[in-house]
Parts: sequence; structure tokens; C-alpha cells
Amino acid sequence: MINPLRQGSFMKFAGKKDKVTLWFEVDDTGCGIDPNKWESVFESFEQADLSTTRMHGGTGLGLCIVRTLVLLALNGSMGRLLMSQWLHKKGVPTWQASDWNELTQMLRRAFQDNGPCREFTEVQSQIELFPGDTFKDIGSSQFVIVVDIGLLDLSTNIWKEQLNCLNQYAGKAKFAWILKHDTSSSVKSELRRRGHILMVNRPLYKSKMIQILEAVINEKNLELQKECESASSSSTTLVGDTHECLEIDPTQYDGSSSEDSDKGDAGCLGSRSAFQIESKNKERTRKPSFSQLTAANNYLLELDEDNSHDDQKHRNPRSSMQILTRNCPEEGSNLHFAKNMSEQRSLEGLKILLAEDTPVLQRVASIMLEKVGARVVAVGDGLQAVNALRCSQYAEGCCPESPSKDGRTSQTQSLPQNFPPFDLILMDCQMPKMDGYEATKEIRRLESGIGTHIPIVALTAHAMLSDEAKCLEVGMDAYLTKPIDYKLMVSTILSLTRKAS
Amino acid sequence: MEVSEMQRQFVEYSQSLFREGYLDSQFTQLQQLQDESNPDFVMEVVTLFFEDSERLIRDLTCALDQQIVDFKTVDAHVHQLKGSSSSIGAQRVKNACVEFRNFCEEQNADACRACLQQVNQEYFLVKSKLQTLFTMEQQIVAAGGSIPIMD
Repeated sequence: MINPLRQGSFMKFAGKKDKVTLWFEVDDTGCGIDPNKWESVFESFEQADLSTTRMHGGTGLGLCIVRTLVLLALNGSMGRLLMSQWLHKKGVPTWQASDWNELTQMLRRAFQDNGPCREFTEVQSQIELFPGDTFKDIGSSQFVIVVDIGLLDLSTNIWKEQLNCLNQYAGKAKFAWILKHDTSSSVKSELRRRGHILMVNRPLYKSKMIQILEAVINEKNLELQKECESASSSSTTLVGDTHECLEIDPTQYDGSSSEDSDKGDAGCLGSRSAFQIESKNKERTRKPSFSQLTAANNYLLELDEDNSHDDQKHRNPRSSMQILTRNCPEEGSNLHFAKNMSEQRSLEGLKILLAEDTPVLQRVASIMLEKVGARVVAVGDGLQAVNALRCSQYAEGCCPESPSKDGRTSQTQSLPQNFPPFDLILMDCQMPKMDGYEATKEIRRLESGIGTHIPIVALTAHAMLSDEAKCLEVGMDAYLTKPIDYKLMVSTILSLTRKAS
Repeated sequence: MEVSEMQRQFVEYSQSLFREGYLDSQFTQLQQLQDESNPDFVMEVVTLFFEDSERLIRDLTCALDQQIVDFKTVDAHVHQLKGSSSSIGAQRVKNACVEFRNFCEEQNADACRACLQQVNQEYFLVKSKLQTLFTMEQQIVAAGGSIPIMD
């Protein structure tokens, strides 16, 4: 935590009549982390042994060998370097790209040009570091392209064109996307639509990298298996189905990644070890019924390539499912909805105050917001809205009684203790007791003392310019006309709260 | 009846409701918010609308029955009814409310009562149609089919 005053920053004032410009400069006098120690910062995630992804023969299951090559298209050079070095240690050759142009160049050269090129020879030299492999192995190789969402230009529609560009490589490589926690669901569904089903959130921990590789290898093995005559294909896998999505939930893994060290099962190629349940979760694996599992197959990438035992076939989809759901419920009922749940939490973590007097609208909006992950407090008039805001400012949660206009202290709505501050207010304009305009004025007045500015979105039944002017005048940040377009509401909320994330 | 026949009838019925103005695009929005994780969303919201509307219509009847009509109260109720009907897409009810509010402004008690009758009628019409729609949905689901998604 940098304390500007202590660290020797300074402020300059440039006076210009009634205008003042403030300059802030901050010097960080921290000692920094020794480069030798960079890797150890991530040590807790290094426990995993990637040797199973080395894909040597002799696994005993008659499955074909897949060699993996990884192209890291990530923003941060340190992250790329570390990941690259680590993958080399584990026997996976890598390429790097730092931005979109580099990525497309590399892809073009790698897949479109004929004959060996610089990139291939680079990779070849990497491969030669690993005994036992030869250049011709590339033919049966699986290319994995790990792309950070930051390489796409999401501020315009260019990103869709960028995805189109990547489409041409769809058959030649598997893409895995590193998303931001607030990456919109429309981006995610577009990715999914184009067959990109591997997605994880930043940061790219080693454990996530392992899981990506395992998923890719399992898929590839399944594809090869179907080509090979060895295994009977009685499995019900749905590989590469664009309707499916493998979203690796960080909350599932981060806590457990250090426990993933026991990748054991040497005989189990591309073992589901990355998708192993820790013992404490094992009780839950028994809960879901088989009929739910079959339904779930439509939503989840099934990674079961072991057809030899029926019970194993049942067990593994269950374990994949457990990992993919967000909240591992005790009952099995939510298990098949992993896709939709993770897709819809676009407002996850936001606390919204909804001031709306029409009960149906209050209910619809609350339900809708909660379903996309927001926490909602609903009040029925402007006065309650102001009080709710006041209450949320107090850490102890004690609500001061506010005198109403006629002098009596009004009863504030009972709010939970320690209510966290709101991120945004949805304010109906026409409400009894105190309408939205008045409430907003009051809120801005209170804020002028503290210096905060909570985003306020007006909900108005009128769409006239005079209403818009009125909204702006009292200090609202945006408005939505009724009846509410919910998608517009979500995107408005996101754009007003995004800078906070 | 075959599931496909049920589905066809469902689609036809839905489309007629939109065509005849009973429902508008706001209802479609609600349908789009419904999915496997919120399978009863539309039903829940519509039930809420039914409860709310019947309460408001009762209150309106009462208010307009008074010797001296308090138009401010009447208008407040109609405003609410207009808001809730528009939020679920009950277009005809909403339109009746809009007309109603005009007469409130004019403080015309007789016209208001006529409007109330109109609102009441439209409300019960859309209620019965929505209930029919839900019954058709349930029959399709019971027969193992899926509800056709409207665009």
C-alpha cells in the first residue's frame, strides 16, 4: 500500500483563475522482489507434476500419443516468461506472442506457410532439449493457443473480426482463453459459438494451465482414439461440441491447487487427475443421479476416455461436473446448469439499491438482478432510499433516525447490520413520499460532504427530453425508460461500475 | 395428441396473442430471462402481476365508489397498474390505464368508472389467455417435449 505522503510524492498547484489543476506523483520506494524469487511467489501452485502430459508411450491403455505445443499469447511479459520456462521444465515446448499482431503473424507462419520456418525450427530446438522426441512428432502434435482476452479489441466491434481471423486455425489448434473476471457474457457466448470452449479467468496460475492442457489432451486423445481401432467407442462423449463449455472456475481450484500434487495414477493417461475431487468433496459425488448426469452431458465437456469399466464411466462425468459447477450444491439439481450459471453472473459482486414503488416491477427487477449475481436491496420510496444509503455508510450498521418533513422522526426500513456500501442505485422517478429527483438531490447533497459519487440510474416512465434534462440536473448518471429493457439495464450498470473493478 | 402438434398449437396461440396486442415485446423479454436455472420465472412474475392487479382493481372500485372521489388516490393506483402491466407486457391493460389516467386528470368520475370497467375487462381477458398459455406449456412438458422458443 503506497502512502503518497510518506513516500515522497508531491503535489503541484497550477492556478488558473477559478480552476486548479492537481498533479500527483508517487514514488515507490519498495525494494521490489528479487528476480530469482519470482517463481517462488507462485510456488504453491507448482506442486503439480506435469509429467503425465509428456505423453510418452507405454501407458498400457492403448491410447495414442499426443505431444503438446503451446503458444502463449499473453499481455504481461513476465507472466509469459515464467509460464514458458515452467512449461519447458515440464516438457512442453512453447512459443510466445505479446500482442495481436504477433499472434496472427505466428499463426500464419506456423500453419499456412509450407515447409519449415523460423518458428518451427525454434520449436525444434526446444524439442531437442527433451530427449526421446524428434521433429516429426510435430505431425501428431496438438497445438494449444492460450490467448489473453486483452489481445482482443473489445471497445469496438473489431474483436469479432479478430475472432473470424482465428477461425481459420480452428481445426489446427485448440484455443484456450484467459478472461477477466468481468468479461461480459456476450463475449463469452460469442467465443463459445465459435467453438472456443476452454476459458479460465485471470490470473493464469500453473494449475489452470495444467487443466487446460489436460482438457486439450483428453480431447485430442479421444479424437485419435476414434481414428485408432484399439478402443471400442461406447463412450458417450461429446467432443468439440460447440454447445458445450468448459469453464474452469478459479474458486474451485485455487484453494486446492496445492493439493493437486498427487497426480498419481501413472497408468491413467491424461488422467482425470486435474479434475480429481479432493477427498472432502467425494461425498458429494455420490449425490447426483444418473439421469441428471445424462442431462448434464449436453452442457459439459465430458472428459472420460476410459471405456473399460462402466462404473468408471459414471464416476468420471460426475467428477467433471463437480468441478465445473460453481457452488457444489448438496442436492444434485443445479449440477446441469453450470453453463448458464457461469454465463449469467455478469453483475457478480455488485450491491444495488433499487428504489421502485410498483411491486411487480420491484420484484421483476430484483429477481433479474439477483439472477445475474447482484445483491439487491429494494425500497419503495425516495426517503427509504436516502436512508438506506445513509445506513450503508455506517460500519456498525446503526441507522440514524432522520427527521421527516413534518418534524417527526421517520421509521427507517430495518436493514441488516453491517450492510456494505452500494455500488449503484436504480431510482424510479415517480414514487410516493419522496420522488426519485428529490431523493437524488438529497443523496448528492450528502455526498458533497464526503466526496463520493454513487452512480444513480433513473427509471422513468417518460422519454421526453425535459425528463432527461431533469435527471441530469439533479445529478443522475443515466436513465432507463420503462418498460425496462433488461439487457440494456445490465450493460448500463456494468458501464457505470466497471471502473471500480 | 402428439407433442409436435401441441407445440404447433402453442406457437400459433402465442403468436396470436402478440398479433392481437394482448402481449408485447416486454413479455418476450421475460421469456428470454427464463431458463433452466430459473424455470418458473415467467410464471412467478405473472402470478405476482395477477395478485397485484386484482388488489389494485379492488382499491380502484372502492375509491370510485366514494361520494367524493379522491382523484389523486385513483391516479396513484392507475399509475401502479400501468407500470406493472407494462412491465410484463400486458399491452391492452396498459393502454386502458393510459386512457384512465387522462380522465383522472380531468377529474371526470363517470368517465373514470367507465375506464375502470374497460381495465377490468382487459385484465381478465389477458389473465385467461396467459393461463391458457401456461396450461399448454405444462402439457407439452408433461408429454416430454420442450417449449418452442419464440423470436
